[in-house]
Amino acid sequence: MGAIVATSFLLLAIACPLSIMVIMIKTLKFLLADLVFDMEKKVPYASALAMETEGEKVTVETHEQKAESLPPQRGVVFTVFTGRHFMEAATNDLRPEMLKKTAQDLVKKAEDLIRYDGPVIDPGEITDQEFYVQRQIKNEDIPLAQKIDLCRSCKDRVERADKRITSALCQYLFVRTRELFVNRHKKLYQDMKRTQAVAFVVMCDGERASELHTGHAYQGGYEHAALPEEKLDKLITDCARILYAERLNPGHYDCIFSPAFAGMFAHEAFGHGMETDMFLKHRAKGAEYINKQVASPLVNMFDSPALPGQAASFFFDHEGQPASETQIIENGILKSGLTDLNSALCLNIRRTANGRRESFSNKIYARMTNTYFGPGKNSLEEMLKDISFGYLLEHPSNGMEDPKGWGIQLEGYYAEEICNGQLTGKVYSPVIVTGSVPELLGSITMVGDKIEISGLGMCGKGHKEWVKVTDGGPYLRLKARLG
Amino acid sequence: MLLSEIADYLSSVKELTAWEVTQLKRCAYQLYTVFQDVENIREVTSEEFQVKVYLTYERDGQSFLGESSFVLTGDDLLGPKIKSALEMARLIANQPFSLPVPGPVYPTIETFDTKVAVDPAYYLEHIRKYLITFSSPGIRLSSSEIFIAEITYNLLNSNGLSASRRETEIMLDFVFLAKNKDKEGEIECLKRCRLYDDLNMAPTLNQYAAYARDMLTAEPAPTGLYDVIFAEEALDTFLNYFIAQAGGQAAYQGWSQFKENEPILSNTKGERLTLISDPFLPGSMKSKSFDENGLPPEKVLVVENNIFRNRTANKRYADYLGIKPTGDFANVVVSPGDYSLKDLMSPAPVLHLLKFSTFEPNPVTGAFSGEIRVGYLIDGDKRVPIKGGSISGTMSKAMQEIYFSQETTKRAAYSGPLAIKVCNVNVAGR
Repeated sequence: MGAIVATSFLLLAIACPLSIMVIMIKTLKFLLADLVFDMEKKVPYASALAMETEGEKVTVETHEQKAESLPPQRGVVFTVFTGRHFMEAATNDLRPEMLKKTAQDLVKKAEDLIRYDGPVIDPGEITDQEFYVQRQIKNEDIPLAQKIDLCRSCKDRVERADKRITSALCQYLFVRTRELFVNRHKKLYQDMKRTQAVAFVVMCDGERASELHTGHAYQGGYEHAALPEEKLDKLITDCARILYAERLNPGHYDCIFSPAFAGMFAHEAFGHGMETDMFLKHRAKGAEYINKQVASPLVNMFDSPALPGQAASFFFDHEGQPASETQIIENGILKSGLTDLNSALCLNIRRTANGRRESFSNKIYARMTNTYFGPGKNSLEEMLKDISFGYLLEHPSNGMEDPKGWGIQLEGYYAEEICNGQLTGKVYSPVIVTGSVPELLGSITMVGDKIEISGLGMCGKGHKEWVKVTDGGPYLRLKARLG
Repeated sequence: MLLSEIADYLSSVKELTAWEVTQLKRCAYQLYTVFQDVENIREVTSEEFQVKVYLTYERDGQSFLGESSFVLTGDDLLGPKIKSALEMARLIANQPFSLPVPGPVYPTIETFDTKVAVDPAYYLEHIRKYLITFSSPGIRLSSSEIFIAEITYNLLNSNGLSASRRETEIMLDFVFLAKNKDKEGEIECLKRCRLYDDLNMAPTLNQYAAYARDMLTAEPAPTGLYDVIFAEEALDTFLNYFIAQAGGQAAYQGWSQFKENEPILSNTKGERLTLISDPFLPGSMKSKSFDENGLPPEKVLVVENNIFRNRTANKRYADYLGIKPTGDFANVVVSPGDYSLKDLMSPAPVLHLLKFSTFEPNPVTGAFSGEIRVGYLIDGDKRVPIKGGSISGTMSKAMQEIYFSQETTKRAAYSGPLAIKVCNVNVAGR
């Protein structure tokens, strides 16, 4: 089971010695190719992945400030396949002699275990390509003082808006990730940049307290560093409403999920449950439902690392698979899982670009990327129109699912009452949706016409293995059990 | 790169008022299985230097602390990293605090398992064999992940303080599948410890096999107000709201509701909470001989019979608040109560909850919710397995009537009652 956490006061990047690393990666390309060539003299398949993540983070809050480089994650992982299983050795010592020794030691350990009667790994088409995320404004060109001023003015603006605010925080984060994948046929390099902005507020009034955050994250540069005014206004208004919110009476209600809430629903409903390493371990019921109805015919769901500009997009996954869209649900029918190399190999199914690892020191798993519901035809007004009593759910906080049992739990900060087709302004907090995945998906009766992707999420697998994901969708109208 | 070279270099940078550098070496060994088969065997070695730099300056007659941090790995060049860190630090205006000076005596705490460190490959295989040969009716191992790591910390600061410690870390994650005629279910176990003996392999496997079997007949929780007994995994994060509220950061940032020598919960019925931060428990995950600044941590009586007594704070927040530094909250120690677990099971019905998908109370508001993964509805002699549904509330309201068991248990970072009973909790289920 995994969790998606919308609050990710993550990392960020500063003026790093970029030129040094660019040279190193280019040098490694040929060295790693040579080492893979040597390794494959003794093992059926070998590959290497060099990864570097660095960046800067500026945080200005009511009582403290921080400007720091992100802890760099830099290293190389060598992978060999023995014909039965994988073996890996990883190091952050990138000196050529140490990389050579790491690769040789790994092959020595694998040698006695080699079996040539096992499955064969296809190394893919011969290719040598480099990919770059483009930016309008280079983060490195902006003076640090300007970044701090941006956060400070955002924090001051939030603080001034309401006397009940006891703590406000604004954060700018820039992450640059460079990855080089090499196997017998492929030399792939990608240089990705992501900029994130977050605002967080705590309000207190006597014994009551509330907190809320907002933000965005996109691929690209400093052009994404500022939060729109309307997001900040909504943050303050909604946090104040939550401060006095009561708890709602548990029960089944007509509901509308906001695009952010729909995103968390997509992620939990058939995100984790369609990661095919879970199929392999007999931990996902979805394996038995491929090409069967699991949702309302209005429902289409996708996972795509190829969405331009989204924070979890990439050009190839950590096993060299080119990014492409996977349709998970088509008109309510479950269609395809999300694969890593091992599960695709063992289950003999199509590879998708979902082999991802947290860092060079972590193992590959099948993981989501940008996961979202496809658009429908309805406006929010149409959805509200004939609801006599229900709730609009916004500001998701976290969710959990159970791929084996298809149970699901979604939590959020905000449920606004709907009465006779109108939002009443009365807010309840927190709100918890519990139920079964097919029951919830089957109850969808309207799907909004516009998709919004929320970029702040991070996703874990079994309470660890954190990777960047996004999720989203349009407004959804459905019936749900709220607590 | 050597630690001493970095320290010498930092000492030569005149603009710096103070600095800290921590060398972190990690050797990790990992084994993954799917059913009986090995999926992956991994070995990871890494070394990094975590550097923090500080400079003080005056502006408008007031002292400020500029600060920044960076990490050095491999062949990183120190010069450009320091230049960039100084640029950042000059723009930061925090309240000053001081770093510790040499002289503290560090306690000896058992956090290193020599046998495991000497031969991690043997223990990986030993644990794997234990798992794949484990047999229990209707139970099958789905997958497992076994991690063993040896970690070394060496810390130096600009005052001449020097501290070192070594730790081992063992993580076991496994999933059991259970099956009967009609149904399949699963249960996941995640255990972390520092000493191999604390894995308690046989009891742990038998316990989770029983849960997996019980989950085949489990029903969603009922709806309504119920007395809830928190036990096992549910205890691990149960008190996190109190821990956060008791911290120096919460007080400095203005969101702590706790005031010294005042009750933390009003109108309490039942028993009263006594909560201690203990960094000295042998083998516990939050035991350590020194904290991030090199100070020996202290055992702290945080809450005594529902009265807030002392705040935990690292050096920074202790200086800001003018209190004694204790280190951040360490292992959670709770005083046992007067009732046996059996006593707590009545009056019926009671929900005995052992495992949630997550249970993490909000540190600011105390709001909590948790989806139930393993539990039992106890009604006299009847014990019905529960899975699904959730509990919710806010800690300050929910804990108006609480009881602690006489029997105690020790978990990864918890030592205290085997069970904590909270009365009248909101449960949403069938």
